[in-house]
Parts: sequence; structure tokens; C-alpha cells
Amino acid sequence: MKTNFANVWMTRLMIAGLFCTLLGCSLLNKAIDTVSALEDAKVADNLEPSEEYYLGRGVSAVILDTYKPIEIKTPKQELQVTYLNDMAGYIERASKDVTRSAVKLGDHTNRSYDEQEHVRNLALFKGIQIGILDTEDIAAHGTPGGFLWLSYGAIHLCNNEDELAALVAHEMSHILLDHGMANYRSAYKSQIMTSTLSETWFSGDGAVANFGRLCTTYAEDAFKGYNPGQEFEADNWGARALAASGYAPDAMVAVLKRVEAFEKDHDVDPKDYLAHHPPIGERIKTVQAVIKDNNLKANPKSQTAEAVTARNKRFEEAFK
Amino acid sequence: MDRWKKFPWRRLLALLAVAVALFFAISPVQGEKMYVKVGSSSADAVVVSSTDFFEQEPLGRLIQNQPVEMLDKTDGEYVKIKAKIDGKDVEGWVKKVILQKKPLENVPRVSESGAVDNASFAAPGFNKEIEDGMRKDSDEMAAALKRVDNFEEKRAKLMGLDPKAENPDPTPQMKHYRDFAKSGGLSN
Repeated sequence: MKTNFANVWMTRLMIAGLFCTLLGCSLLNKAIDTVSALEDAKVADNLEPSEEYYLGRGVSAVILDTYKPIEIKTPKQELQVTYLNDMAGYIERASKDVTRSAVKLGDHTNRSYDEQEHVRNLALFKGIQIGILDTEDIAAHGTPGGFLWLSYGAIHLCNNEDELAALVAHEMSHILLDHGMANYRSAYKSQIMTSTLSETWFSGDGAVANFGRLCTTYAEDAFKGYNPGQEFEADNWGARALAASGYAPDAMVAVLKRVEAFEKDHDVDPKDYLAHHPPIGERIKTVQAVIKDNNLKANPKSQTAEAVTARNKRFEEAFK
Repeated sequence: MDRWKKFPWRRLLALLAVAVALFFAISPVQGEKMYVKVGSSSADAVVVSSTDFFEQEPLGRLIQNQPVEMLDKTDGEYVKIKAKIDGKDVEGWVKKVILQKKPLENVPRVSESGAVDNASFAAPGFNKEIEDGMRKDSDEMAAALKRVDNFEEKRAKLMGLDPKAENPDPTPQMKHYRDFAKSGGLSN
């Protein structure tokens, strides 16, 4: 009888223990949900993908008021736009596992926990869309929501497909790492947000005028270029994305060397887009170190003579 | 020894089994409801059969704000989900980043005051109505936005999408990307 009595109590104790464990798990989940809800409230000023898309359209409109886009009328122009959009779409999908952590990308930028989470979870409402600006000026502008505008001047700097992919991957990273909005927030905090263009376009009050001001101020910041830390981070992400997509990561170094040669051949005006980038020699060295330290290599199958020839042939058909 | 023999091992095992079953039943990952945050014309909205870019087949596409059930399987940046698509239950893979815990609010949050303050300047709420308002306010902006419209329409057509549809099926775009990679000898 004594033993049975002990067993009954032992069983009751076990049931009580399990009940407490389950209750504890449930409470823990609730606590995690609460913290998560509080975090969401903190980042409430972050835009949803559809909002970033509409902001991107507005910023694109301002960019296209400065640089005219190609009309996409001739078969050659259609080939160029299709080629660039295929390339960007492929790189974006193939580089899904490339890190977006500021620390892993060289610790060049400071992001708060909320900003880092926003970048980690950033998704594009309609994916990447690349258009071409009809100018030989060197210009490359990414907007929120996935719009990327490359000038003929920037494209003609590249000598082969892998180099063009490096340019696209670098610019794409500015979008995926939310560099433009980070600059915008930073500029707002410093009270730097006067915009002569917005004053001429939008004198009214209300939501529409605010949206207009945001688009124009954002675009004006984009024309000035990203800050040096963001450029280093974009080079780093770009080199990793190239390797993940099968392109030679060294193409990032090659395209930077072409920019270096361009800068030497032309007196880069302080107002020019390139003048706001960090010293090119420093960027080349940093990317070389990233490739070496992380042992970045493309899949060897993508680097066979046959594969490289096929890529360069279609590059020449599109842009030479 | 007698005490060990008389110990209720069977009851203990049964309780453990119940506990394990309950644990999985309340697991925060399996069966968690999430909401789609991208548009149905994004290639990321397509549920695919595999996480391998070159192997994946489209199984159906999700729409913005659609609830999906997150299953307990992940592969890199992909997560396995279950969703109702065209009345059928579909299980497949999507990128984790297209899902979020809460449904989108979809309410304008732009301040009506016009004041240059944090709330109005950083506040979102951008949508087609706001854009249409911008077109009305400025002929220059209307002309510039028309260029964006033309670009999107022509690009969509070139990528095999229906240029007139508000949310065209993005599946042909995925084929474009894959064909591009294959013809250039690219593999990840």
C-alpha cells in the first residue's frame, strides 16, 4: 500500500511538473510576442514594400526629369533592356543567401538594431526593374522599391558581361541594403532637407505635397551619391553576389580599375557623381581583401572558356 | 529493486508522449500564420517546388496580405509554406523575407498637416491615390511619372508579362531569368 501511495504522488508530481513546463512555454511565447510587438512599434516609420514601390516611382520620376530614359523603341534598345533586366533578376535570386549584416559586410556602416532588422527583411514589391538613361554621363541610381537607372556612360565603362554584372550587383546592393532611406533619415535628423526643386513643384500642403517633397529630396540626395561607408559595403555585397551568381568576383576589381582609369583621363568635376565616391584606390584594395579573406570564387563551371565566350558574345550584341 | 519494478514507467512514458505531442502542437514555428508583404506580380510571390533556382517549378502565386501557414522547414533564406491558391491547398517554398507576422495596415499614414515634422516627412502611406494627387499638382511631375509608366509597361512586355494587367503573373519572368543564366553558362 505504501509503495502505491508513493507512486500516486509521484505521478501527480510529474503531471504538475509537465503542466508547469507547458505553462512556462506558453508564457515565454507570449513574452516573445510582446517584445516583438514593441519592436514593430519602434520601426513603425519603416515603409511597407508597396509604399517603397510608390516612393521609388516618385523618385524615378525626378531622376527621369534630369536624365531622359531611352524610349525602348528599336530592337536594339529592347534587347538592351531585356538583357539588363534578365541579369539583375537572376543576380537578385541567385544571391538570396548573401549576408546583409553590416558587421559581416566589413562594418563600414552603423545601423541600429531596428534598421538592421529592416534591411534583413527588406523585400521588393515587384522585384528589380532596370532602365537605361540616355546619356554618356556616368550615372547609376537605385531607388526604394527596386528601380535601378543606369546611364549608357556607366554601361560603356564595362568591357564584358562579368564587369557589367559587377556594376549591377553594386548598385542593386544600395537598394537591398536600404542605403538611400538610411541617408534620408540621417539627413532629416540633421535638419538638412531644403529642396529648391520641391518648392517649385509643390507649394501646396497635405499628404501629396509631403510625398512630393520626399521624392525630390531623396532624388537630390541620390544625385550627390552615397557616403563612403555605403560604397565600401556595396562593393563587399556586390563581390559576394557575383560569386553566388557564377560571375567572377574579380570583375568588381576590374570595373573599379576602369573607374580609376576614367577618373585619371577626365577631370572629375566636384559636382559629378563619381567625385563623391571614396578614393578609388582604397576601394580596389578593400575589395581585393574581401575576395581573398572570404575565399570568394565563382562556380568553376561558370568560368569555362565556353561559358565566358557565350556571355561576352551576348554582351557585345547588346552594347557594342 | 522492488521500488524500481513497481515504478509506473508506462504512465511516465505515456505522459512524456503527451508532453511531446503538446510541445509540437504549440510550437511557434510550425503552423504559424504569416502574411505576404509583396505584390502578386513579384517573382518572389510565386510558390516554388524547390529551393534550387535551376530546378524550381512554379506551383502558384500568392497575393499581397494573403495569410499562409509556415511549416517547420527552412533552407537558407527559403521557408516551406502551405497556402490556399485558386481554392487548392498548395505546399511549397518562398523566401522568408516576403512574409511578416502582421497583415499590412494599408491605411494612409501621411500627415495631412503638411508640416515639415517627423510624422509628416518620414510617414508612409504612399499609394496610387497619393501619386495621382502629385500628377494633379504638377504638370512636370505628371510628365515625369508618365515616363515611369511607359518604362514599366514596355519592360513588362519584354519580360513576357501582361503589360495591361495591374498584377501580371510573374511566372514568365522567372523563366527569363533561368534561360539567361543557362545561356550564359552561369550556375550558383
